Amino acid sequence: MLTSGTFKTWYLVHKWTSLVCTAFVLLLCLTGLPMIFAHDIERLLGDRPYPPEMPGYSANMDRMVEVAKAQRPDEFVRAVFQPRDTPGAWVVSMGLTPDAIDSSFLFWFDARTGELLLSRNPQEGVMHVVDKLHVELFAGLPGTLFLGVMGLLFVASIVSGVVVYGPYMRKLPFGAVRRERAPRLKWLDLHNLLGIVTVGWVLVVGCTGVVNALARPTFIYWNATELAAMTAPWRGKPVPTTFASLDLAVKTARAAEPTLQPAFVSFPGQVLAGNHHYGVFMRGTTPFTLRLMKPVLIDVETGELTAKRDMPWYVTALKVSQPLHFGDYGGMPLKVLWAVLDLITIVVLGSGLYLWWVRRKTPIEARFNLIEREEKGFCALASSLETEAATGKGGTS
Amino acid sequence: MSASLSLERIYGAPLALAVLNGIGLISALLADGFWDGVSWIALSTTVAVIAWFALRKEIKPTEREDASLNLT
Repeated sequence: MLTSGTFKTWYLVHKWTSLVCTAFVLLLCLTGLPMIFAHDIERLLGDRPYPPEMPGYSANMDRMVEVAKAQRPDEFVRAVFQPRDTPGAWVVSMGLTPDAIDSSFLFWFDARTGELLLSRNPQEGVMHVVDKLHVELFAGLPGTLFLGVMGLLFVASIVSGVVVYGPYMRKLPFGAVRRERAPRLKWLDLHNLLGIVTVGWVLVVGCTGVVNALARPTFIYWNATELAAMTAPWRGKPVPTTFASLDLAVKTARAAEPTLQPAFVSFPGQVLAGNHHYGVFMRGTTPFTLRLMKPVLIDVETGELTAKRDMPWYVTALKVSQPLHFGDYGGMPLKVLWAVLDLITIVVLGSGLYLWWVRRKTPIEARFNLIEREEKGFCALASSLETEAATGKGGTS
Repeated sequence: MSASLSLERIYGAPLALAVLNGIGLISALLADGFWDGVSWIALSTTVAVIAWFALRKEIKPTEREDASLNLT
């Protein structure tokens, strides 16, 4: 068991890491809540079509790109992708420049008929605001990295919370909530109970959130090392003025990786393509391999396959950590559970803040002694029950 | 007065629930259908445990049911 000295250290770690990160983690929990249902909300708002899937038949993708370009003649095609949960659609993403990071316009096409289903500016709408707050606090990459540091503090706060949970529970049975005594005691017990029961989930979502904060640097690094090596002979050459057929490029990639499906194609000028290639990223078909991408580079002038290779381990780690953060991999029941656990985390954060506020003037040594005194009411019950359990007299009466 | 609970008594139930959390988080990632169901049940258990302890009435010393004893 912890001594008074080590308890004090862990207690201070728990207190200060929590105090620094709580406001930001609360923001992340609140904005994260609607984001769990982002696709469902977009669908309700009419911003997201769901054409049925019809495997084995695909409309001409060159035609989709032409339609999109005709409607936004001053913009550039960034990528063409197939949303993971909507294999019946292809989406053409436009950008203000060839190397744009953000999409300026999206065109949704039916993958079977090639029909334009919907076009919209993804930089508009309430979900866009929520997304920008959650991912980068409207401050670009520095905002994302800052939230990543807050995430690290949150993880430290959880770990130290688990350690200080022990001394608090020395004489209380698991799950005890002393609700008929001081409100502070009730909230202390609830904070301990809700925190310790959700610790597995919260640690996973917290750690994967930190990994996600490194997504852009990870892709930039991948591009600068392995992908750059694949396109080295074309380095420094300008982006060609005319492109070979996208439709044929995707067919070539499919032929090269017959067990995989195309997930997205980055266009020349983009980080994941280089100046002279279509970057066709292929994925598997199981819930797990659906998130792993294998790049197949197709020469944008000749339409021929240049190179392909597997993702490096660090991109795999990033892609595997994403579903564990989003909760989007087990249907609506999992999303609802994700939301409930998110709400419970909000209660843990709020009660933690409250406990700090009402006790902020109590010296820490007094607090350690307080634990002893506060337990007295309950330990009589606990010990009598233990005796009964040991002697076999307990159970339902 | 009664002795402190052992570390196993304090952390036993939380550890079991954390393992259950882990199973719930990973199973849905492996495959659809059955494994999604495993995930839903595992994570629902966590929520149910919280609901049980957080929403029940305070145990009086006269009552003979202590869920922590049933759990172990």
